[in-house]
Amino acid sequence: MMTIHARPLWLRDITEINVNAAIPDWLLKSKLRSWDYLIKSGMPTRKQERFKYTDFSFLMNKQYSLSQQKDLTKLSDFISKCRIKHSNAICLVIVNGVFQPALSDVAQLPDAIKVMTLADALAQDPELLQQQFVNAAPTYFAELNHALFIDGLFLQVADLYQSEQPIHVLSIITEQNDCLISPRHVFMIGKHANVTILEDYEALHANSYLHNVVTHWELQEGAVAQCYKRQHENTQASHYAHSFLDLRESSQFELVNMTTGGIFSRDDVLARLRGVSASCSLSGFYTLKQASQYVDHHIEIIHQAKNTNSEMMYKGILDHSSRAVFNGRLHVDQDAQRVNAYQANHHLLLSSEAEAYSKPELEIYADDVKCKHGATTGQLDENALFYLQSRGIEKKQAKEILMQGFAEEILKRISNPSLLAHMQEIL
Amino acid sequence: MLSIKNLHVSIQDEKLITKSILRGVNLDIKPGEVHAIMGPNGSGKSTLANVLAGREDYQINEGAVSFDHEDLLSLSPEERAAKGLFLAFQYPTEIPGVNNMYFLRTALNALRKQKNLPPLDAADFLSLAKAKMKEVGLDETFLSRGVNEGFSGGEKKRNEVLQMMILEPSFIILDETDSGLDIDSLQMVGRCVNSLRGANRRILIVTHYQRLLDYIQPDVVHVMANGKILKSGDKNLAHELEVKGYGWIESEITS
Amino acid sequence: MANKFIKEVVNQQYPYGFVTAIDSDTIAPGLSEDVVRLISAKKHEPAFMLEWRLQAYRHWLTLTPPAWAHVRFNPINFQEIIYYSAPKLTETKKSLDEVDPKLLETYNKLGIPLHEQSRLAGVAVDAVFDSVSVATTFKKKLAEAGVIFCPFSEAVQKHPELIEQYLGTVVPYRDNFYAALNAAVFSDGSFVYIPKGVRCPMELSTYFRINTAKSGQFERTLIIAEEGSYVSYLEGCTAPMRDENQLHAAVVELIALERAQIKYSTVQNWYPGDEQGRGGIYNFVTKRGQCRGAYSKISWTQIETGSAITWKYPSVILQGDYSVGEFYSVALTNHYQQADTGTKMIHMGKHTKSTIISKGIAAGVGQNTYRGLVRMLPGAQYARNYTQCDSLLLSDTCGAHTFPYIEVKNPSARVEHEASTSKIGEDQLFYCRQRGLKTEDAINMIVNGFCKQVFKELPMEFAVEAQKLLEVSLEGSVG
Repeated sequence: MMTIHARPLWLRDITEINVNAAIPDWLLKSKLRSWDYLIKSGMPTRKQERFKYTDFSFLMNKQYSLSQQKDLTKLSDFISKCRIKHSNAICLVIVNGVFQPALSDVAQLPDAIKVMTLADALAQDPELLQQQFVNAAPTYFAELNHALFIDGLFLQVADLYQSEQPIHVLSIITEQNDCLISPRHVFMIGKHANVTILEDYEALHANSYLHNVVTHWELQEGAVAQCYKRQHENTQASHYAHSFLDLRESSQFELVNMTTGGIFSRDDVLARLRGVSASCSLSGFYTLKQASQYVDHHIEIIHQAKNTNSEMMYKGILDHSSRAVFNGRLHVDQDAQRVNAYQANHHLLLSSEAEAYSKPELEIYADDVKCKHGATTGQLDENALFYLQSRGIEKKQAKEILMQGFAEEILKRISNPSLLAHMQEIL
Repeated sequence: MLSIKNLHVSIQDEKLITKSILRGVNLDIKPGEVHAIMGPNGSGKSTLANVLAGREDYQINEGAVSFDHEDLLSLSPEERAAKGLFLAFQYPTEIPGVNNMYFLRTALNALRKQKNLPPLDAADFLSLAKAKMKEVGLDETFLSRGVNEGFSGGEKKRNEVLQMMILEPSFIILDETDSGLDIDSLQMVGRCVNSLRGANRRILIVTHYQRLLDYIQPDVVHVMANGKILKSGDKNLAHELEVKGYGWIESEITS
Repeated sequence: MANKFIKEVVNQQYPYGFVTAIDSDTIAPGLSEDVVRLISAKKHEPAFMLEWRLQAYRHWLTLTPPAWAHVRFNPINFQEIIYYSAPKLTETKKSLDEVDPKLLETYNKLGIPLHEQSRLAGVAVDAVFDSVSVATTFKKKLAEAGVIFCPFSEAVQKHPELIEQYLGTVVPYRDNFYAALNAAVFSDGSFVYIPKGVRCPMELSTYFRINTAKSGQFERTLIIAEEGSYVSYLEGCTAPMRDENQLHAAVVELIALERAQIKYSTVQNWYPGDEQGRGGIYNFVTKRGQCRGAYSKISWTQIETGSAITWKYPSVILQGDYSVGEFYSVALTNHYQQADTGTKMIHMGKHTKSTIISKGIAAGVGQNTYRGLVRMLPGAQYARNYTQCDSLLLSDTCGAHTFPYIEVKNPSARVEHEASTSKIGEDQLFYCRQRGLKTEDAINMIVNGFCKQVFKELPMEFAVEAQKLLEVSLEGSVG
């Protein structure tokens, strides 16, 4: 017996897919399919393993509308404030999910880095992105983005190019209503090229919007990319990000995610190590200080080829009645021999109302592998606290020092000092 | 008699590229003799030791090894051990949860079975082990620990020598046993190996440094580079190398 | 002709152990409220038992069979199962010579003593034989200590007040699909009661082995340890057990009051099916212990090498402050076996502690999954958990998976979880072989070392048998 679900209340205002007339045929068909899927499958429930601990209450009593283009002239001051200090980073500004070349440092881009709106990319080469979108996994919110996205950022680094300047992708939400913002980004890194991208999420006002982002990364043979994500949406916002990583032979991907914003924040990362000797290191740190704040990291790494390595390292500090969920799934295909994988998740609870859920999973079908995972949940080390206090440091400061130490393991992965300072600002 | 004739060995790395390591090694060791092989890193000396012991990562492309008139290369590692071959590993592996004493006794009894001797029971073995441990300088507590589990580098090497003393093999290969050892440990190794010298025993010492050879005086010293034995001589050759370095040998050959 | 007939009758009536009066009717397959009533009537159960069974049955009707991602099996037709039949009379053989030599070979390898082999193979044993008199001595000893150890159905007759007080308080029929089914139709099982301050004078394992009748499909076991008491109980045996019943859905409830300790060990070697995986046993068991009193302790130790599908999560509810829960497990899957096993440690009380050591060995085309839950509830101040789950892969066609769930709601609780998956190192194997050990022996040694932490928790005599069992189960698995 098939149950047809009613369109959820919070999607009521969105009656049809708003399509740009210029999109290719395959994309239109695909969007309609996604919309269909959403209506038929209904909202995910806690009975689904993927959403076992996810609290969708933030969606209740909301009715999101689609974001409209607004007046952008007053933003330049805000943008200046958001820039990374003491850095030659090239700033690319995205407002309400749409890339704004006029507000960005497009002129500073080297020739080897092509940047344009996703709409333009599709216009130039309709077939290019078809493969990318196929790689996405069909989960509710990723499909929601697929059905509704209008635009996003397209960035391509040419083969062999070694970037000297980091790219600062600054996303600003200026909407004041309850909006659903669905940008879709594609980053393609060419053979043996090298780039560092800092994804920054800021908001102008303190309203509750749903920022549903999907990002595709494709690293060609030998490509190296570092992605630093700084999530500082406002305290009422909801942030759901899907990242799909396609890693080819000998490519290396590093992610460092810092999350402090939003009342609801979830990152789903799906990394496929498709080529021999590819490697990826995904790490994150989150500190939750608000009542009812929820942070969720669902990381999935699939080893499809030999000699691949991966690492997952996520740490969080939870205070008040916040909740954190970590689900790390490591999957090793039967042919993926000589795999070395490590996964760790550590939580510090500072209050009796905070809750932590950890599910580090291993699904191994090959045999010549070395896979380990570790998870701990606890509190600040009493001995270490006492040690600092006995050296004259006041308790409150001692606690902060220890918490800083706890975060250090993640922070030290950022080698560029100005980028590190920018990331640390939100902590 | 151990006789190695024209041995060519190669290995495939992770990218499936074949690298040739031994390029025609010739070596004869008579019973009662102690031979030393010295050479720079990458010369192939450890490979030779491992190939003799039967490690399966290597491809034998050409050549033969006969051990007391038997084709050694056709035997499995445990069959070679049964014939009396012992390799003291450069990096002894840890085997957690497997009791050291149990391991040693099982190895000894496997050997005794080959020789149609009755197995030693736990009590007899314990007295044998205790005596040998004294000689090797390992505390009795090492018997109850897992094989090499948590042992320091030096302790691992002592454990190798202990096994040698208990198994009394007829062909001993020491693969850089001296690397990382202090003076006391070196002296111990020297003392123990010397105590095993005998008319029916062959000893092959693979080493990078000349130090150990002060304690275990070799009858023949070979210099190996690029997968071949370039020069052989008596123990004085080792001293010459110490003074002149490996480059000297290579230039001697080419000249 | 007449003589043969007499011999058969005599053999049939041989007083083997403590078999109760033989009843010869069997009812048709299928389950309905009438069947439940019939079962209860045949057992002459008091009213409260029938009522409980009926409630469970009615609840079961509202449920659907559960499915887990990593276990595949043909759906079970619950209407094809016979829910009540007379205790079967096994056809007896005259001597071990009539027994399949392969079976005997296995018994020898496992080190099972001769008279045990006879019993297991269905050979008629001499009336004056040891086993009967030994059993009598044990019964006397237990009676002196005040320990009650008897079949569950006997306990329902003799100690109904204890049954009524404790039955279903740890695994209520509402708990899950198989618990509901079991509550409705369970046939028999064991009942153990240890009075205050008594340390049970012997391992209940020894006694139990001698008294083992053919295991029923739906067994129910209840163990109650009163304040300050101690008991060590072992179920199962290393000999491969065949059964024409494919489904085994048992329920085991353990209750430990203040300062009591219960140690429950399982060595199970159910028939795993042939090399193609056909005909094996499905072992779906709900086992749970409740540490009700402060300073109480419950330990589960299991060696699972058999059954086509193993689905069990022995759990401990740590209610009393300072109570301790332990779970030690070795699960081996070879050929086409699938195991989805693990534990749940629920910390309610303060300063509660739990330790989980799980060792999975996957060989052949087996799928070995560990699924564990560690839950620290808000009241679990200063609670501690340490979990170590390791998997060893012995072939390149098997799978080893780990799905731990860690839920913490108290800031002073501490959870430490470590897991690793690897295969036997080439280096380790070569090291052993260079020392003269055959590959097979080296693998057995290394696997044993891998499982050591668990083996040392078993009652001693079974530790030795368990090691042998592992060796036998691993035969031909290297590849």
